[in-house]
Amino acid sequence: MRHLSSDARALVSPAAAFRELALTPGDGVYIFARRPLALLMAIGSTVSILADGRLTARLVVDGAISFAFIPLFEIAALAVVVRRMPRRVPFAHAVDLLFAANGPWIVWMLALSALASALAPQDLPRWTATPRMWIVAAATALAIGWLVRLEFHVFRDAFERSRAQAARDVLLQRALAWSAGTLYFFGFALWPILVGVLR
Amino acid sequence: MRLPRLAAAIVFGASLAAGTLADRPPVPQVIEIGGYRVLAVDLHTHSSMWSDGALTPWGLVLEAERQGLDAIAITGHNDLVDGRVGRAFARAASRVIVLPGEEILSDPHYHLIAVGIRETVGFRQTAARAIDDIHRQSGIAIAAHPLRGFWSAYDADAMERLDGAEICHPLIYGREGAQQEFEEFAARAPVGAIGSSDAHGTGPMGFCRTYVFAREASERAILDGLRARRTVVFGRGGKIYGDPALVRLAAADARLRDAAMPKKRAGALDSISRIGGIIGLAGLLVF
Repeated sequence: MRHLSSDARALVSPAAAFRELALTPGDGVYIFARRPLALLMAIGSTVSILADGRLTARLVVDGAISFAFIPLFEIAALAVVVRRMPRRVPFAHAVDLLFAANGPWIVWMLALSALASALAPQDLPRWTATPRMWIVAAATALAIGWLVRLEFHVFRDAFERSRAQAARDVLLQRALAWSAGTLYFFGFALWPILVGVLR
Repeated sequence: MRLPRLAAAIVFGASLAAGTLADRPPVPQVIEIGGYRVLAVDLHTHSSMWSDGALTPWGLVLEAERQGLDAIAITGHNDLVDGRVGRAFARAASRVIVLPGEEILSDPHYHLIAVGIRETVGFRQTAARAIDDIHRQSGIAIAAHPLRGFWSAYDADAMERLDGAEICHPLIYGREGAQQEFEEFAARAPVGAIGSSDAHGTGPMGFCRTYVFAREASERAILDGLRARRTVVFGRGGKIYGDPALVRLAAADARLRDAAMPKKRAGALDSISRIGGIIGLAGLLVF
């Protein structure tokens, strides 16, 4: 296990990994930005492979800009959650710890990229329709469950919250970040749906 | 940095360099057939600005260049802003013509592409009235992915007013029966044949495309060609749709078929970049 990165250790043994990460506090711009930027690099790479079948700087940067709202909303939601905590942790360190739990998303993106790489363009749409769509949906659900488990350990083991408090923190973090992200991403498309539901 | 992590970083960096080296737009072809300038256009794309796409409006323009398209419509969901941004970028920095547009997601239920408009069209009205609004702005109305579930919104009035309907859309490769449903819809009225990729960044743009037989390479000429239904689309298995006279001309020109049909991703640098990229990224996560 020692040769693995802390993010990889968090995937398999989250409690120990986050306790250990909490013992090496850091502060400053580098600590604040390194994992959000790594997440954006993974997202940009996935966009590049899906959109054009290759990894190119143009599409990696463009994909990262397009999905910059994800880390931004996550950081904003974390700012709300950490204000409720009695124990003060440097915010840059808190961000670093939270983003160390994003391993499941990166695994999910790697799987998606590998799948897209193996398929011809005309075979990709089959994965957006049943029955293959259910495989993608199941993998997404698995990634979400895994992520939530890891984030629970961030709050429980790194921020030393009780089990109930950690569960509430994760719930609040996800409710804020995912609601804002969904509203932003689907934007105007949600409006007619809301109108339809409210009529 | 530990050695395995350094190796992963080098693999990722080399893959990115290989992919970036291979990322060159094709030399633009001027295709003239039957006295018309034939333009490859994709009239249904989504950006990440107020729409659920994965590329920015300027990213869509650059990707359109890369895919050998002459023009695109950026069609935000009930929104024109991203189309305007894309057009401003294209005018400053690209040969690609950008037509501002929107995909009207309506209540009642239909998805309608409006191209060449200046203001958004209300979505709480019938399809026929929405099409009238589009025409008042000298725009073009196209039924987006008209699967059977959307048909009830397109009554006789709407069908009579429609300028075009998507006959080639990625759904034909993903959903059983979609091609037949699109063909049955198009058979209800003399609509122009449209091929669009509905690009959200999860597949190549221009994967389904429309050949517009235009008088010249301009926004106005494209809209005129669409209005006159001077379009040809290559569908699944190379089947050709559109104006019968133009279909005959297009069938005899291998350049159109070659550019329109989906290709395997076969370039050596492409393969190195994506496989190495995935391995490098996995290495950076693990080590």
